[in-house]
Amino acid sequence: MRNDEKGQGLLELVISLPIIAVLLISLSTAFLYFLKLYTFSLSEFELQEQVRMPMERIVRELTYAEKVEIYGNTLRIWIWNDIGRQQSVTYSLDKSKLFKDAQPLTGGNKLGDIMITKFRCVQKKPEVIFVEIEGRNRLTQHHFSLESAVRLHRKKGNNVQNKFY
Amino acid sequence: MARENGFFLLETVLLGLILMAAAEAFLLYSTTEHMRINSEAATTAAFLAQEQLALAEGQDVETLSQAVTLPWLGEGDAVEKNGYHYEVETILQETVGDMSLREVTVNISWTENHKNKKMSFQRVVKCRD
Repeated sequence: MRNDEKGQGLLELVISLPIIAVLLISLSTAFLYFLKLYTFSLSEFELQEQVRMPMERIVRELTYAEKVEIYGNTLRIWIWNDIGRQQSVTYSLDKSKLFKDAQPLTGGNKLGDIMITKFRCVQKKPEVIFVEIEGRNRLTQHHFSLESAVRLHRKKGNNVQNKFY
Repeated sequence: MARENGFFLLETVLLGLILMAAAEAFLLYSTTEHMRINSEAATTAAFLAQEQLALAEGQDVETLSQAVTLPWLGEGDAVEKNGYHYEVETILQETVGDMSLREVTVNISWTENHKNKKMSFQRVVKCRD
């Protein structure tokens, strides 16, 4: 064995091991922290999506509505379907979820625990319907709400009265 | 001199990789957060503009044919939504060629991360038969 073939001494090992441990723990903690924040951000995107998507649908259907009925947390829109028959779609808020014709429009999200906290429809002016949807991310406790208004463009000669309760 | 050793290339590369991974995680979060804030504010602004356009369209014929600007027509005096303050400016102009129509422009502006953002929406409305 040659004289210059030296490995690490016990003292060097004893000193270096805690340093490496502290370094690795700090790095993994920082990494996990940012990963958690990243997950929070993605769940916030889910919150936006869960509020924006039903709002877009409702606004689109209200634009072509023939008749509108509002009963508290329920909005019924009468539209002409593709074969020229009148049909209604009903939007309602029940158990923190928005429903369209008894089918859930929101929920089923993977990251955040999203609940719809407010669904409000009000007649602002004759032929103008105001809609507000608010959601809450239970993971981050963040609220997100959207509001809009739609002027009904009914066919000429349609004198059907809207109902608001 | 028996032990004049500095850092090995491998040690430097490994340390660099660990630091890069940590920086990447931070960058990932910061980019996503920036996109989220931007998307949140822009979506809110778009729906507010749609609301203002619908309420403007629902104004009486006299207002629609004579007004040059309109105040915020929605609920409340100021537009505070999702933690942002939005300025809503509504301008009504004549259209070329058809005096029964007027062009309504809604400009929505807000401040986001110390930067001024603005979106504009236009719609032509009928003000006379």
